[in-house]
Amino acid sequence: MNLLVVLLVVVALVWPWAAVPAARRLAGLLPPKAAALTLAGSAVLLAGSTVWALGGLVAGGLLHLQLLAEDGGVAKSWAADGSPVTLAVAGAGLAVLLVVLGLMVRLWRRQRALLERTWRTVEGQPDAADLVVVPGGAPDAFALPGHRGRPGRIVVTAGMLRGLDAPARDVLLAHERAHLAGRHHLLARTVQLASAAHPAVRALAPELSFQLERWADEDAAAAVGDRKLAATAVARAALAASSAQRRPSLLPAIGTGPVPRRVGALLGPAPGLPRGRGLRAAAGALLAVVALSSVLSSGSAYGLHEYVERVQEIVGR
Amino acid sequence: MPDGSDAGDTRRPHGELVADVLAVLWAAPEPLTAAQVKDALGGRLARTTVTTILTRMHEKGTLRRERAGRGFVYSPVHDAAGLTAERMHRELHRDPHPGLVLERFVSALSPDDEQVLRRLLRSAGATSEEDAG
Repeated sequence: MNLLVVLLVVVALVWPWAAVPAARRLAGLLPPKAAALTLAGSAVLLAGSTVWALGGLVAGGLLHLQLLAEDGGVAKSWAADGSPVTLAVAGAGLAVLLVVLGLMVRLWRRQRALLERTWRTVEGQPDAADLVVVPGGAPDAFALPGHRGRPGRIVVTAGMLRGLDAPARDVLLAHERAHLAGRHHLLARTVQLASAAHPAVRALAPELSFQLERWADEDAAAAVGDRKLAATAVARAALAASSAQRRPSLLPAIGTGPVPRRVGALLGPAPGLPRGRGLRAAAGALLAVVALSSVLSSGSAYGLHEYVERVQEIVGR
Repeated sequence: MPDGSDAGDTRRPHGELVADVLAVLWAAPEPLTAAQVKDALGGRLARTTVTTILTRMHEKGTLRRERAGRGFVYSPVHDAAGLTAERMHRELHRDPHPGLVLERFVSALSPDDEQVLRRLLRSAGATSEEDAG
């Protein structure tokens, strides 16, 4: 394996640290749905590139082993020259690849376990169509994705319903229905799994979850036909939930959290695609930075191809 | 939709109307009559539609029905020893893995967030009772 290939693989593995901030910037320029899809796509691309680059290293090592096992005099001596390094790099690649795979499987199981536990917990609660109400004062609400053939449900506590007036309740239900109809949990799960492939990708998960909330907020606003009403409903619900369960020590006190950003966005102008040449150029450039990772990781495939040709050349001599 | 044809609100699927009725009854401090449910829904539905929905939900065991005067009042059935919001919260936060939680309608607020939110609400012209209290 030549130096260029190793360099390309290293750059491909380091690249996500540059691509993830670019993807987040790009998402900030787009309306929520496009932003969420961009973030999820970036996460899959970056995770795929990482696995691809590692796979290239491992494949190179396997090829090398095969060469060593063969009886061709010239080929063997040529291969033996770089053996320790090539095999060590391939071994490291294999180890990392196995860790990544193991993390993904574990995460996938935990995602399923959480879903199953939640379904078991709310089973038998008073329900009507897609709504399940849980008695009790603590205000809480979430969309429970469908599972094992059961369609998704909206789970709301009585405390949350009592804390909101009728129009705000409409916003809440429309918001959760948007999550279910858009199958947002699939995007969230995908990005969580992609985070296992590369530590840099982890930073995309909170941003995605914010954009999914924004997406559902805008859908809810469209359903009730009033963005200001949607904004006040989200704000009221958050304040009700926050005064009900005060645990200040656990809360991060710095910066502005996602809820005020959502409310602010709903009070502002309706989201749209970036206008103006400058913004569009910026979006294009950011997209290019993200996409470059796949080019870099394919460098390892190119290197492998070169390697095979070189071997054929030597053996054929 | 067998009983939705007389509804004033034909845009929305029947399931959503049923869910709305349940939400209204849970939000109310006391049992409601069909007319009260209709009013709470903002008059979107015909009275007969509301009555049909309430009757079905009662038959299904979701609602308790008591006689009041010439009609009935309805309230949601719940098992006093059953699941509560607090127990659900504990149950769902047993897995300590960060980020591996269901997306909630509203996430936790920092004290800063609360101030920003109240300011946003005021600027939106929505001076609320909660703010005063």
